[in-house]
Amino acid sequence: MPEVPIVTGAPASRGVVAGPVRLVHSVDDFGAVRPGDVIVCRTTDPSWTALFSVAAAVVTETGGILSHAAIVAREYGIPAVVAAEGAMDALANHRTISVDGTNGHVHAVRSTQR
Amino acid sequence: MTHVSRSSLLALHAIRLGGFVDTQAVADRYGMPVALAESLVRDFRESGWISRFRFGADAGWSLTESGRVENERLLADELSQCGAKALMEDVYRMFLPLNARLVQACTAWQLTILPDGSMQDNDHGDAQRDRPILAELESLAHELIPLTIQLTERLARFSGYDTRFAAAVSLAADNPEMVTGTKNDSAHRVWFELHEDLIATLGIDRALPSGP
Repeated sequence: MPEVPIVTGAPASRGVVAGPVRLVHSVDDFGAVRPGDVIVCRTTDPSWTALFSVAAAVVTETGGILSHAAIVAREYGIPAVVAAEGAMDALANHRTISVDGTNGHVHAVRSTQR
Repeated sequence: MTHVSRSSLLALHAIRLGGFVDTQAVADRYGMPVALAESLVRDFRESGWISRFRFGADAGWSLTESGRVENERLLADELSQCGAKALMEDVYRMFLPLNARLVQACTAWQLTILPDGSMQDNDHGDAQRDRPILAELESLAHELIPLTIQLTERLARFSGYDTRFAAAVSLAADNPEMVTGTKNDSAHRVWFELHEDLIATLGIDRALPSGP
């Protein structure tokens, strides 16, 4: 039986991928981002598009399928879930998550599956 | 008369707008000598306003949180000096409905949303499907001209958005990358930059629910 998503939002860029959670509050957190991380943030501006080139997926608390972040995520071909209210708090204690940008779901990934 | 911004404001703002740029791009954004950009970048780094990041093969400068505060302080001071705040707010109000159309057109360029809500990529194999999207982008290019003129009459640093956007749109029929591409001066990239410029200049918080 499929597990209940820990976070849901609007599907904005297709695909399903798993990776380590990386909460990004501001540019000051950029240095911590590693290739393959799932970026979880409030919103994005032009500087954040550099992160999209190395991220596995992105989850944003604001925006919609039409937002600039969604458009850029689709260009990079990475799954994106947007308008995921409370995502930063909900995902803070998870190490690895799976982002389903086709359906707008975020699932926990158990450590044995990593 | 239009106001010409100081080099230090322009160089810091070039990093804000570019998001993640090298020193050459800082110089190029407002046509500044490279030596001047290099010296300003050094000062910014010493002040803690910018930080160097590396993502994959790319390295560049981004504003730190304190750099962002400084950038917005300089922009707000400039705006009040020129008495251009009311005009800027008017232009931003006119920009928002155009922005809503732009993101709609860019999304339609990238994908079709099927009746069941699922997304299907647009492979640009159907010229008939793409034609109305290009027509909408051309219309937006025309509508951007008076806005850019109004902005530039007060602040010279706003010049070029209309011509850069129109140039991207004119190439889009032959090169689909020119609409939403991330590597080139695509229509979406130019527009996103203008949106960021207006938001920065007016000190608006992007995280607040005010549209895309």
